[in-house]
Amino acid sequence: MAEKVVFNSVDLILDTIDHGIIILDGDLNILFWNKWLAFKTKIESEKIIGCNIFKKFPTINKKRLTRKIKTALLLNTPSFYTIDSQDYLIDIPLSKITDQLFESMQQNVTIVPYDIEKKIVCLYIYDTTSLCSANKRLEETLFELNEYKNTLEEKIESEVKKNIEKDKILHMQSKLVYMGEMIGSIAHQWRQPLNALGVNVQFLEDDYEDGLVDLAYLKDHNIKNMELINFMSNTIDEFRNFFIMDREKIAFDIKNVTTNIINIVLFRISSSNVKINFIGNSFSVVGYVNGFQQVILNLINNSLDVFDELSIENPKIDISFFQNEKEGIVEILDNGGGILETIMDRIFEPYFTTKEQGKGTGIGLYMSKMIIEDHMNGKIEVCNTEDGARFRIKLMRVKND
Amino acid sequence: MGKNTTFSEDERDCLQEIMNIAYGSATAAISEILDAFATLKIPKIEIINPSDLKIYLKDSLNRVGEQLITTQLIDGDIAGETLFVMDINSAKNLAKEFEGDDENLYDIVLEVSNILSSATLGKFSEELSSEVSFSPPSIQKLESIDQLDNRYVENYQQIIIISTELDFEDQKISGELLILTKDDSIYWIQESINRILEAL
Repeated sequence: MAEKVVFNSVDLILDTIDHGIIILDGDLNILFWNKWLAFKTKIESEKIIGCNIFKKFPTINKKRLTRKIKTALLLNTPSFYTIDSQDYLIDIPLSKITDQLFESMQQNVTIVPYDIEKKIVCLYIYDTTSLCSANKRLEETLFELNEYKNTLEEKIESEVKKNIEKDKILHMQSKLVYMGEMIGSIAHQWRQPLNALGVNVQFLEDDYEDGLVDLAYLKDHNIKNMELINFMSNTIDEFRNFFIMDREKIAFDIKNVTTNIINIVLFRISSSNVKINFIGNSFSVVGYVNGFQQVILNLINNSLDVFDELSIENPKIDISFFQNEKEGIVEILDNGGGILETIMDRIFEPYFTTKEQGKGTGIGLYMSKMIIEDHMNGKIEVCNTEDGARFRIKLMRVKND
Repeated sequence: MGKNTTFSEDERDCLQEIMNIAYGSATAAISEILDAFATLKIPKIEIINPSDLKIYLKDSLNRVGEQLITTQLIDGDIAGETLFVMDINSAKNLAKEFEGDDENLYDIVLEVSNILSSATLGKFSEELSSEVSFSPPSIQKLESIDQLDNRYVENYQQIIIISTELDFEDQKISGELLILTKDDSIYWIQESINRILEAL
């Protein structure tokens, strides 16, 4: 049989409990101050009993505490200070040295009525520092996470913007490149008819003096000169059409469009004695005519540059058209010797060029890929054959073609 | 568990009457403690299915903008939860009126919520010869009721909602108190009401 132990349970609990307990009278004088509080505040019970709580702890919000005590007494119910509403009631500096977020102990307080008649209340003080630390860390982490998210979003936005700008510049540059080439073409196309016009004008006076000018002569003269002028005017129209941006996708005949664009560089082709072969039957696709023409022109010009550079004998370009169930395919094959395998992977990158400085911009193939793949949902690929490079463009065919 | 409670007309009337008394004492308490004239609307009593709780809250708390929501657990014969909802502007006005500034919105909202639940439920349980105990309230700021977590609510059969609106005249302060209780407590309330009705 265990010996019956006699003890004062209330004193034991009050002295050993891990919370603060204060009892206040109606004038808010301290009637009781438990051991836990004495340890934490370093104020002995004997030194504080009888003192007014506001005099001992001037940081306490008097209005708030009075109101809470009033609530407890009037309604005979507990009232509370919670971690949501405030940091602490009694300022207890923390002695913890490491890993400490707060200078003072964070507290929850429950105020319960003890004697309603005499307006005596009991305050229970709970140490919520570790809970508050966890909350604070969570909040900080959330804040950091949010910040990170925001900067990430900003970064993405600015990068996207930069990319759009870059594409715009590339577009502009490629336009300028083509414009330069076109001006060269026009100049060449105009040289012969301009010359002819000049000769015709000069001969008019001589022929008049020789008595050759009659009505028939004048009519013939006008017809010949108007032909020349029309030819020159058409050259400008073709040039202009080529540079007007496609507004919408239309269905077009692939062979016609390819032939038209090749006519623009015909002078260069014939002056280099390049043979162009058209192979296969045409088909229709839906897309941007001018964009597609730029691609063809760019590929043809690249071949012509290689022919010039390497002085290729019997230069030729085969342009083949064929189709499968869904796609139409255009292949452009030259006999310029092909592309170095080491740079094959890079030729569609922007600003990548093998041409001498000042001659190549490195934009042509990049833009060609953009036009075919991004704008027309097609595919452009390259490979080497025995003779030279073969570019293959796949586009969706118009149905029931 | 498993049976649905329906209140008869008499039971409903009686419940409403007791609630009116409880809210009357809450009005008096809040006016006395805060020294301001407050009114509480006559409480509305509804019994709903737990799955409809969110819809109910969304509809009845059809408020725009940020809301402060305090929740407080209640235990005893009537066990459950009280919700007090106040829009942020009302809370600011409340803090300015009773704290002098609007730096600490949470404390005054928590306090008003505590006074309302304690007064109402204290009186209500007293009328039914019982007692309730309150846990400390907590508060959160929500942008929408959807942010309210109630994943366990489906475990209950029914929820009784007793709602009222608090208004401080001329001060643009209003809030809504909901008392949510369920199954066992609902039966207990019904039984207690019937005892009162039989004694009449």
